[in-house]
Amino acid sequence: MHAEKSKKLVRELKTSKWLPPYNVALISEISQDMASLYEKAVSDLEDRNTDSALIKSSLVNRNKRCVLAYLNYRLTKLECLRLETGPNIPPHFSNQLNKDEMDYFKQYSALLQDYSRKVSKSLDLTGDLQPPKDVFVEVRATEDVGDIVLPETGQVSLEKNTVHLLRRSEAAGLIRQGVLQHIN
Amino acid sequence: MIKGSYWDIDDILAEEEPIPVKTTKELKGLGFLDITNKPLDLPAESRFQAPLWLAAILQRTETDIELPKYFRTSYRASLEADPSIVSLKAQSQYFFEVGTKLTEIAEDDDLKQLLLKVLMKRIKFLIGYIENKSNPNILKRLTELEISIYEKGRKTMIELEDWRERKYEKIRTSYLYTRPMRKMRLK
Repeated sequence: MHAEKSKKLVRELKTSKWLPPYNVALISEISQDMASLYEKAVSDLEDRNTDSALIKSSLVNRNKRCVLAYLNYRLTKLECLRLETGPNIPPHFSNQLNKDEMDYFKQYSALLQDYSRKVSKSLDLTGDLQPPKDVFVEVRATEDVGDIVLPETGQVSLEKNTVHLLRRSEAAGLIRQGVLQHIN
Repeated sequence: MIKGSYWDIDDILAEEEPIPVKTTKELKGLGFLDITNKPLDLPAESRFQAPLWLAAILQRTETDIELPKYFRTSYRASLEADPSIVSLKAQSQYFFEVGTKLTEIAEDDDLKQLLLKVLMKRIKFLIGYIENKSNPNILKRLTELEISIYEKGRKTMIELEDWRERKYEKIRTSYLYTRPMRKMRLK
């Protein structure tokens, strides 16, 4: 009973490269433990057993810290994902998240877009910090995407191993997502 | 995340490292703290391992904190001799974090000096690996703090190289997309 469950929860974050699947079961177990520990601490106080009450209430606080840190870590990762790769969650990540986290991601994304629009109409806040040398970049498609319409270039048909000359701002998102590859 | 803050998961895990403690009086209703102990109450003079954060609180109930094996005099001697050879990870993943926290709890100034000396020597040795293209095998011998220094150092070296070769304007695929792809290909 040294808050091992909380330790396990936090350690899970370390084991995966991005995020482990959201562990609902463990979190609800921990919150039950916390409730029972709290009751015990209160009854200890009634018996004037201050040592025991001190330890039990600090166990409650410890569990609370671990769970909050777990949630906060996940949210920070989600925010980084939004800034790094744009408004879509990569398909291989979606089963790692629970519904609330998906909602958080969508709302964060909407907020960021709102803010971006307020700052400037033509500026993408998640874009590169360095000014580009060329307006256009040469890219090669790494998978079959089919025809897509880009805001300035118009329609492009991205078939595997075809080379295109696209506007840098349009291509950047696709390159980061691994659909295109930047050559030259 | 700020290091050592409430939200820092490394800080939380460092505080989970077991520390030997010894009670000086009977603690009623706390028998569950000692896993080998069956009865409800914790008798006086009982020794057991508690996580660091718990040990710090137990101190308020007049419990003595002892130093873990890797901070005792015998091990200190081998640390003094050559810190770069010793595998600190085998002792504790969070050797330095636990050490700094213990210096505050146990008020041990010698330990503080020793940790500083060990860290300086280890970093000197680590920088050699960061600057020359090194084998990732040494990661197995490093503690968490050293791994984070190593990774930051490697990243900076790569960025510096990119800048020298004017490659910084090249857009790369985000690591969030590349890593799982590589994993899938291996299967």
